[in-house]
Amino acid sequence: MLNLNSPDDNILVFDPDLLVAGKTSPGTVLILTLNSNDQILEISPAGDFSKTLKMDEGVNKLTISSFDNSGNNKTEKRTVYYSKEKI
Amino acid sequence: MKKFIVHSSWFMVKICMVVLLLLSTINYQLPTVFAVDSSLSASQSADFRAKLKTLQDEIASKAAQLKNEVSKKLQNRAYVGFIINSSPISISINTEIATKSATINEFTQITSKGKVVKSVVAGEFVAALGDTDEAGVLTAKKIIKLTPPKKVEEKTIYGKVLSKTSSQITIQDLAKQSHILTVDDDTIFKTARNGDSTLKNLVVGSPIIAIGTLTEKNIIQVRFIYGF
Repeated sequence: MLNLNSPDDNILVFDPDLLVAGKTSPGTVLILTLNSNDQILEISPAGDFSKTLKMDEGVNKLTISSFDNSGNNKTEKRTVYYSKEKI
Repeated sequence: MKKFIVHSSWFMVKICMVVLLLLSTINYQLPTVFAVDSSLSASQSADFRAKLKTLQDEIASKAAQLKNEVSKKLQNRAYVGFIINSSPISISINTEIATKSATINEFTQITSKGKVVKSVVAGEFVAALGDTDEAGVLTAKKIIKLTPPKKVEEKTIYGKVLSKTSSQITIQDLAKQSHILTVDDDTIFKTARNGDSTLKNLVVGSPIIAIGTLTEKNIIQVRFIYGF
């Protein structure tokens, strides 16, 4: 199970801080990739996760993949456009 | 016979007079008729109306809140991708997941490398920025022409380590297919709880997750490895 509650897809933001939050099955491994930078995301015992990342100006591509111990996985993708100036 | 009839009639008259006399002496009051309100008293009715008003106000407030949230969801949207169709008033953009539509009007600003340009054409890679309607059509406030991304195929793969060398790892995925991964000095190795690791620490037979790009030779150039 992988539910990505934040961010929404195809959004325009004016703040470089990106909140990545959601819920997955407890015990899974969560890998987050933002613009080809990869990291393991910690999850709570209940499977909740939350992290704030810094975006580049322009197009930001986010991918989250969850893997259980058997290798079964789910992936969510988001595109976020960060603009320094309001439109 | 005549005497009998006369006597009977006079007797009836007497009886009627007695009855009338008796009735006039009784203090006779008609019962008060109340309007039918079988379940609620006046105070209970007022209380019920007050509760109903509170409920109506709550519903109206929640409806306004929901409308506001929906409105926010439609604002500040971005469609990024290659234009597949364009006209002076609209474009179709092939985003990561779906084809999206955007309308162009007299207020739409189109830019390329920071300069204002007149139009966009099919084949260009853009970011269309604005608000959408409920059908998902974006009214573009700004369309920015971007440098197209490099065509790379990203791979995220789970597999069991079959063998390894100083620069290569062979793994077998869940479908029992083998994959060759190449690593270099830039490859990041991680273990549980985000601990740092190295290629030396990888154990043959153990599962890993690898992220990289697929090269022409069907080899995955790995930039990140997680060892269970």
